[in-house]
Amino acid sequence: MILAWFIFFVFVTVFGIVGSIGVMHGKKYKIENDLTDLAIKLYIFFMISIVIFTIVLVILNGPNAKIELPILKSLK
Amino acid sequence: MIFETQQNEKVEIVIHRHWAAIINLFAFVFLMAILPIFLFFIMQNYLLISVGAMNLFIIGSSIYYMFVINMLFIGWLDYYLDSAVITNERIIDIDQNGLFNRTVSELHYSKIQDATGMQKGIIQSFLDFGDVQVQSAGTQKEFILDKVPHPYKLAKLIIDLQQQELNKLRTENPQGAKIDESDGV
Repeated sequence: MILAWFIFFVFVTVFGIVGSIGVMHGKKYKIENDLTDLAIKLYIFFMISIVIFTIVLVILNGPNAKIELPILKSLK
Repeated sequence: MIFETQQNEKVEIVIHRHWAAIINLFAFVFLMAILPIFLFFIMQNYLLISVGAMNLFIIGSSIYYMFVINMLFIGWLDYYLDSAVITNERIIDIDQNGLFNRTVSELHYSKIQDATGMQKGIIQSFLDFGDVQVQSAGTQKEFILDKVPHPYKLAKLIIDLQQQELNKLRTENPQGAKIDESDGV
């Protein structure tokens, strides 16, 4: 589970860097009174929401739960 | 603003590409977005999943959704920053290809010979979008404003603005303003 979290936060960092470049680019080249500001706000909102949602869901599920391979219900 | 207007220059209209140019991306992102939901329902109905495995699925889905949203954001920026600015003195065409590839070209009305609106196919005709081809004198490259809304109205606007600019130049220069065919040499 620790490995999964580590990989998760590596990807958060990578996507954060890529997104920041996109946000800087959008702010630099936007034309006044266009939709770029709204798009940037929506993007930041969704990215933060996904991170928070993931952390909350996993904590509610039980962060230290044992990982077992899934099996078909019909085989049980 | 990404460019500076000159003295007495007024921005008439800023044009972005028609929404039809990005509908493919939105459709693709939508299909990508419903895939984890579909997988979740299959897992719930056909598999016995431990809590730990579900946590892994949640983390994996989050990474997947962050990728999808980044793809949508970058793709939207590529679409939206592709624009054209028409002022009373010139046309500025901004071509954005990805995040790091950008071309800004401008064409003064004194160098324009013709502007033509074009629509090809049933979708462009139905949704009223198409290309505007602006032909210039001299060796300056031809401008094509692609997938813009109302191409015929836009072509007419360009011609009207060109006429106004030429009339203004004739008033300022009684020797006669004409289309500038010089190459700047």
